[in-house]
Amino acid sequence: MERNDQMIKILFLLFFLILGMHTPADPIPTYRFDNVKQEQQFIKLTDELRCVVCQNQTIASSNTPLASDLRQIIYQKILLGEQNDAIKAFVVDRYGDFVLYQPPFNHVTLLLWLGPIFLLCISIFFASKTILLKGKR
Amino acid sequence: MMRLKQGLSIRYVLPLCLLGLLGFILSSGLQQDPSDLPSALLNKPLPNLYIENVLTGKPELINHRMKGKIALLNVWAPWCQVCQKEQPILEQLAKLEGIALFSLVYKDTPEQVFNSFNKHGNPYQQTWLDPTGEASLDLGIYGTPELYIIDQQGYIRYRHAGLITQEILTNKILPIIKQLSGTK
Repeated sequence: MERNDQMIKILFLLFFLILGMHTPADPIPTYRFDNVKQEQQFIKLTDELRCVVCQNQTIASSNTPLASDLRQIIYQKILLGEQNDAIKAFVVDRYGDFVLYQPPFNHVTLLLWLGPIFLLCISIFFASKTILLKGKR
Repeated sequence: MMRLKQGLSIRYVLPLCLLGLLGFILSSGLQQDPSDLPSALLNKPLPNLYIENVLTGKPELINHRMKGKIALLNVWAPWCQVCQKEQPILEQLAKLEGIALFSLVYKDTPEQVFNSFNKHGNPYQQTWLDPTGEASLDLGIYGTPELYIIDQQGYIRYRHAGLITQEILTNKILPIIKQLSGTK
């Protein structure tokens, strides 16, 4: 009886593991580049930019017409030899810092970057105080 | 342990205050719509757009048509069902003193545009075509309809993305127009 139970548990585990193993079919565009370096630049760059329409997707994986248009533009820019900074600036000029998955470090995003570290320091400070006090008694 | 008035130890008060502050920050964040993107072109000049006028069939620099007046540029498309719902609002805007209503058609043909004008009317002073979406991308469009308010000097002062309801018209759009009219 016990062995049957175990078998059932293992089967369930396998079942859910397999369900979780989805292979996302990313619509990788069939763009032709002059060399591998350009292709890699394209893959990396489109994965670092947010699709403004489907905001939790990159423009690499989004199906929206806007993402498709941006991929086309980025492709052409890469063929012309434009570097990442210039291409990112092009997109940011039109859509703002929000398109960057890594927000820039400026006086606006200071709180975003330093906030967690700051909170952590405060917690450690108070926690260690409490622990030390408890230790004394 | 430090003690404040009434014997309240800072050990209890400080974390509570921090928690309260955090709660305030987070709840005010919840009230905002994160998908609502402020225009990256706010307070910047309207980019130079050289595109085809639907009536003349010839390309022109739209900025020239707008200088000297408060221009409202509506980006829409005949295929965009939602855009049709704005028609009564657009007609109200068209009648306002001191503003000029223009439109940019995102990815559609002149035939469809004329179809739409015949069916629903044409509230626009001029309408331009953007069949490739390039001009709209230069404006930072991410959905239709979108309305841009451009001041007399050609600077973008406001962008509303999405349908404009009567409420939004009264509470957001009209006040801005009023403000811009005052600074002539």
